[in-house]
Amino acid sequence: MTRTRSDRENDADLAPFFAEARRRDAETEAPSVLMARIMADADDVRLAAMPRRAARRAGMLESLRAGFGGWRGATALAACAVAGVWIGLSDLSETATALVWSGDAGIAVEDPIAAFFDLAAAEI
Amino acid sequence: MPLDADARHRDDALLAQFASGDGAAARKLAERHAPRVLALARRMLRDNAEAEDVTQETMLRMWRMARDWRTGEAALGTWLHRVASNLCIDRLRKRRETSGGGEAPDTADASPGALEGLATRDRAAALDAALAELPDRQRLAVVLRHIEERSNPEVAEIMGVSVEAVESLLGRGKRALAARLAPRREELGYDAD
Repeated sequence: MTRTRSDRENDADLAPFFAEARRRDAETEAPSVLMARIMADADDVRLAAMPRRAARRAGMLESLRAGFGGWRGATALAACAVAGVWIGLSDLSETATALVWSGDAGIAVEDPIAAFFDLAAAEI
Repeated sequence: MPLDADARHRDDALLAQFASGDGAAARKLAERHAPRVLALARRMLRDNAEAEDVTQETMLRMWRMARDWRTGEAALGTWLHRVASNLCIDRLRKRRETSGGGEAPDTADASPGALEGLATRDRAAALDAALAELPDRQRLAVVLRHIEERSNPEVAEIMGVSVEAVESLLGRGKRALAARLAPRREELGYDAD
């Protein structure tokens, strides 16, 4: 008569084999070449997503530029700010000479403060 | 290796960091999961090159889905095992189609003939050889349950079947393994009953 093994007996017989397999698998390390391939794929996916983030940053800069009336407006504002700082820091007890740029040419102007008011008066 | 809540939280956080552009998070995820995926693929495919290809493909799918991963819904390890298992089953099916051979019948032959001629008393080799003779889905169920230590519900989720189907696969698979390995316990250095 054939004796049928119970599932419990099967489990008992197989337990040491499974334990050995688990021990070996716990020591599995992915080869460095494989890890390099995996990380290269990760970089590709990550970098492929970056242009969308860079595009969002470019959009924000465009909005700022439009608010100042274009790059010429923003440049003029910056020039005025620099001039203001220079005026505030310079010693006005002596006549100062400023270099004023007109197009590509630089023109030396003595006493730029007085020159400014002269120009304003001339405009009127 | 059983999952715990802390491990899930770490995986979710790392995946979110990677999706935000953190390259260091990718390294940590790869170090945590690639070895386990590789071990599963090696047992299923018994071919190192194919197992490494499956591991790389599995991890690539993870990188691509990172932005869509919903925290707390599933365990990343379970998801990775499902992807790897499906890739392994697909490769085994294509291997059989290419070679013209068929899959081992669901009622696997219990004769020990295939184990004769093993020149080594290596227990792991004996188990691997016995596993290789099982039908693919029985082998996958046994590996996931008893070597990867997934619960029956997790195995069912990974394999896309019911828990009852998993229990049936496990029962048949272990009966076939025991028929091959039990007579060799003493030879392989295990105490005989």
